[in-house]
Amino acid sequence: MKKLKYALFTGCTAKESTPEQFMSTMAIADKLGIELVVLNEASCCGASHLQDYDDFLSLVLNARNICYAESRGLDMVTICNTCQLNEAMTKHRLDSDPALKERVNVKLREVGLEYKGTSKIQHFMYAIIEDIGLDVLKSKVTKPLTQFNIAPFYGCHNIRPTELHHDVNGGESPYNPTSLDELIEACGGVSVDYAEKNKCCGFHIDLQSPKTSNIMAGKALAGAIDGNSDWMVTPCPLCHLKLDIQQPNASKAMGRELKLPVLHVQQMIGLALGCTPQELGLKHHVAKVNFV
Amino acid sequence: MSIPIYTYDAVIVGAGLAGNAAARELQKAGKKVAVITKLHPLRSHSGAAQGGINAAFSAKDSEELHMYDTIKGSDYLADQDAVAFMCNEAPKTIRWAERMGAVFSRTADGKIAQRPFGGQSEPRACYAKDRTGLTLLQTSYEQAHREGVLFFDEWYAADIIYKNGKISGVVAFNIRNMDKAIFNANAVMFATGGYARTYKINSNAHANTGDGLSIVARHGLPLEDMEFVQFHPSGLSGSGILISEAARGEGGKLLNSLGERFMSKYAPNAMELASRDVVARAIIEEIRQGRGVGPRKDAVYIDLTHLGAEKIMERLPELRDLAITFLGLDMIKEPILISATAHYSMGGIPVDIDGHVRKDNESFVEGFYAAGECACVSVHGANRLGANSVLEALLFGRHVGQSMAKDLDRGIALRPASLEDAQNMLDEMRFVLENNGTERVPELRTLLQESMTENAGVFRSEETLKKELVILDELEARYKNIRIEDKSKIFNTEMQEAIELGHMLDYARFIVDGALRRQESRGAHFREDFPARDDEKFLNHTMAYRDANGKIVSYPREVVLGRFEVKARAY
Amino acid sequence: MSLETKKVNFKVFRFNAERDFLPYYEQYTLDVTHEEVVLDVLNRIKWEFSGSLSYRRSCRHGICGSCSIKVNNKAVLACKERLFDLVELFGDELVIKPLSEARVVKDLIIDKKDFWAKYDAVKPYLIDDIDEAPEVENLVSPHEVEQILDSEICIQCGNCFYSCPAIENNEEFFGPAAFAKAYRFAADVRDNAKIERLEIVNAPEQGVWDCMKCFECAQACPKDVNPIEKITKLHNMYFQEGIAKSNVATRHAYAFKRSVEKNGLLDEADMVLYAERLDVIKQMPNALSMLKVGKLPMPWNQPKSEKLDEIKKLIKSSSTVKF
Repeated sequence: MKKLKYALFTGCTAKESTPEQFMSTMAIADKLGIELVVLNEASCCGASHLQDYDDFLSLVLNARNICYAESRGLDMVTICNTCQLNEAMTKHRLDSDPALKERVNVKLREVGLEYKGTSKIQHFMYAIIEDIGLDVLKSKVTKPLTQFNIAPFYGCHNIRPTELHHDVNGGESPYNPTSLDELIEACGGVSVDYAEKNKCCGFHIDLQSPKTSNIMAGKALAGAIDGNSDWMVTPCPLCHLKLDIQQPNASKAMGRELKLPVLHVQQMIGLALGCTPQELGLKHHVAKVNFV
Repeated sequence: MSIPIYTYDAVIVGAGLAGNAAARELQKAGKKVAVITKLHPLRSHSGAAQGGINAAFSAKDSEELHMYDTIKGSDYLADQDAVAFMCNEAPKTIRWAERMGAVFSRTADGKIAQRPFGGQSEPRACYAKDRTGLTLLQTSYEQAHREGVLFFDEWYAADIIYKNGKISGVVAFNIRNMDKAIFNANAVMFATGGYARTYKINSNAHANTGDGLSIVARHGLPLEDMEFVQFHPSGLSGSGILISEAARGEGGKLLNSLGERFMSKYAPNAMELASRDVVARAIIEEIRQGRGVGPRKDAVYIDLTHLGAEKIMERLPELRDLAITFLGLDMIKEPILISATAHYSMGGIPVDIDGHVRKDNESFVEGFYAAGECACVSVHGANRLGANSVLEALLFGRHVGQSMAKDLDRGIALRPASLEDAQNMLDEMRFVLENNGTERVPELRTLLQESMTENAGVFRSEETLKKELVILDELEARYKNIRIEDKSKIFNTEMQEAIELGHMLDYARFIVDGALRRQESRGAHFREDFPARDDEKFLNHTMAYRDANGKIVSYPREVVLGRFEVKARAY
Repeated sequence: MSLETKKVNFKVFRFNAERDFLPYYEQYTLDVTHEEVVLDVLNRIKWEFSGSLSYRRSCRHGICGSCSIKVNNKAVLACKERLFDLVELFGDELVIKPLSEARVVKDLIIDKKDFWAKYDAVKPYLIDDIDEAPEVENLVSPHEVEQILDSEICIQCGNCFYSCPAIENNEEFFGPAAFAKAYRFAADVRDNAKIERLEIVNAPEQGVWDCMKCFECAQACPKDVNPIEKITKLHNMYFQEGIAKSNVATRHAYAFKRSVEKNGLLDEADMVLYAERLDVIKQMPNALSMLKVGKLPMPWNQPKSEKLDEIKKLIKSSSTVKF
């Protein structure tokens, strides 16, 4: 089998507030024999807020990000749902509108770059499912997570809107997503079904509407806890920031104590593949990961 | 029990294009106006109009040509004074809709774009992609709403208050909770839409049960030209849901099971763009002769694949979507299945150009007006041209609103209403709610719709029509023996469906009776036993009313002729 | 070519506010064909089994917006949702519910007064002195019409509104349909009330800044109106028109540019500080807990993108707004 190699768009959080996410990504890539070339030239995806401020600028900057994957002849993987949204949205808009693509390229040429549209853009989780395969992953599991009920939390921007993602997320339906459940099962765990698993965590309105935001996070945590989960897993570091750090706020909003370890999907896979807690950065969690 | 009596200058029933346009005019004229609708106004069926709205304003076109096409299309049964009025006012009306906010497709130089339509000499249908009715409905409602018109939505108008040649209001109930009310008014306008729902395969909304027509007929007032029901050539196979004439306007080809472009046999010059009745009969004829296609062999193909994805996505996105939803077929990749579908009611409540409802050939009902599909002006005669219906609704809706305001200024007396005026409605509701029979409404309705399609559809004969009259007698008798399950007051849609069936049964008789008497073929009315037009006997409108014994009595009304000579009609 | 059929179990939500204290479900097992949509099944149940089942419906082809309901929690227009598609998605067990259980009046019918009140709030009509007898139309180029981005085809079905989590948790929020409508007129070159309308949908708690960007609205819309795209466009308009009010959300949006210009990547602490200003005190507990577990890089460790000059140059040449 040819060695898998991707350009990794880390996004900001993996380099800042969720260092454990970067660590665990590199750790499992190593275990799975995947080579990741980190796009250190890349800038922030804009997280949909730069898009609110200046849409065209955000397109130019994200097109630039993609250029660096293209120039290395690699497909891009992301490790954040919102990065995935914004990189995929940029690709979708530029690939379907030649005039817009040209307007962006006029700017990029000023710095000697050109967006072509040759690189696929996929969340790392889906790259693993598609390119490694769940069966192969399963065969590499050394420490199956058999004793755990695990609540999948999908995060919005990997599954909505469909037309942006269906080519790169296995055609997953946002109303009935299954991939994360299947990953949990492949890692030996039991996936917990609960109503909020494909809902929003509230992260993006945390500053302007903390009350609503905390209720959103609270409902998700409560749904998972009431589903008898031992912990939660998510592919999105922004969901993670909201659901991990803000458990005290979510508890207050819901009027009940909500305590639940929340892991990144890479950490879950890493545990199953036998990575150490240190390699996976488990100490960087606010809700303590107390089961390993 | 007590029923509130509300008083208005004008009450309008129906909130489609005609009702909204009239309401806005009345409100602007300072009248106290209320609009009663059984849906929310934005749910009205005007919104379903797809292809366009006609106005002659391109360089090569003229109002005169628009008149000619309309009159020829009508098989010379349209009243030429009314057609002239409509065609002359059309450019101004459409530009007025544009000024109010309608989102039309545009030409490169920013003007309203126009496309070809069946039966028209020039590209004349102004359009908004393939959802022209939607933007017009929204615009008419938005601007009426902006003026502060009061809408009673989800109210069911059950009766008019009519005595001694004068109307004095509407009786209605709230569908939400069965609250009843009497809307006492100086002037009443009906804008209640068409009656094609009485056919099994039809393009109409569930709401288009034609209640307004039988409400009028039950008071012994006449209906006009009810036998003229337009069958649109392109309904989706099975459901009858409309695929706009725009599909043919943009170049769609009709093919039978042998792959033949069969319109060459029926209309060698105009081909697919011949008048609707001509194309509809051609399709049904092909199917009857065993050249139908599809799982039920009840359809023909319309092929649009040669237009290419880009053009289809730009001009016909809604149509493509419909075929995917209801047939699972993508018109970009493959031909889709269509057949004739009951679509439009040329007949209706007889009115003059200013919307005054006729009591008979000589006189009018004081204070009563109608416009839109429920009315028969008559601008469509025996067959309506594509993109003339939304025009009629918007143009006459507005004009009749203005005419009502004028009449109100001149003075229409208000006859005070009393509780007894609600008696018909109360009796009807009590019957439907309490009758403890054995018949079920959906079954009777299906029998009505199937038999009407079979016996009074695209092809008719004395034999089939007489058969249908017997069936109608039977169904009427069985209707007296119905029972419904739902006795609750909240959203009793079962009761509503039963009341609506009562209306459908009542006016279906006018359709069949008119078709039986009209021993000729003209426009949409085709008698196999009388395949030719007979101007000597039948170049006149059918006026029909129900006498005290429930028997239909009819008499002719002269067609208003004019500058366009009555000629043979060929495409 | 023939009609395919499948056997499907339907659980249908029933409730009558006049009589019932709690809702209940009725079950039906029906054979459905590949041509049938959900509304066909509702009609069959009403007409063949239970006459009292109530639901709104009219046009039956996706243009009137009456028949919105939820199937397995997916908001659909009953008349436009093919049963075979639903079976493929959810299997042969379909649960039919009203759009919002909290607002149910009878069976699948809800009270939509909150939805319509918000529609009203954005002045949903063209504001202009209307020429009542125009000789010519307004000249509007095809490009200008395109800017409306099909927002005028919204049929007010309510699917987005009753799928929006912001609405679910904040009843003041205007919701995606009203924003799409506000955009429809704000983007119309013929309208004279753009600023007025933008100010209406700028209100805190109610306005566009409280959108949580979940894309539920884009997903739920049966007409591809893509409300969140319109919300983003409205956001853009505040900055383009130079009328953005300084608040935590607008500062937050701007702070992204500020941060990217400085580092390429976000300076998370600086961004929160800039957006929150004095209110940043609220964030202290979060910050402390993050600090404790090594989640906040120290200012001297703030990561930066490589080739930062390139990013700076592009920001200079490609910026289209100022704040």
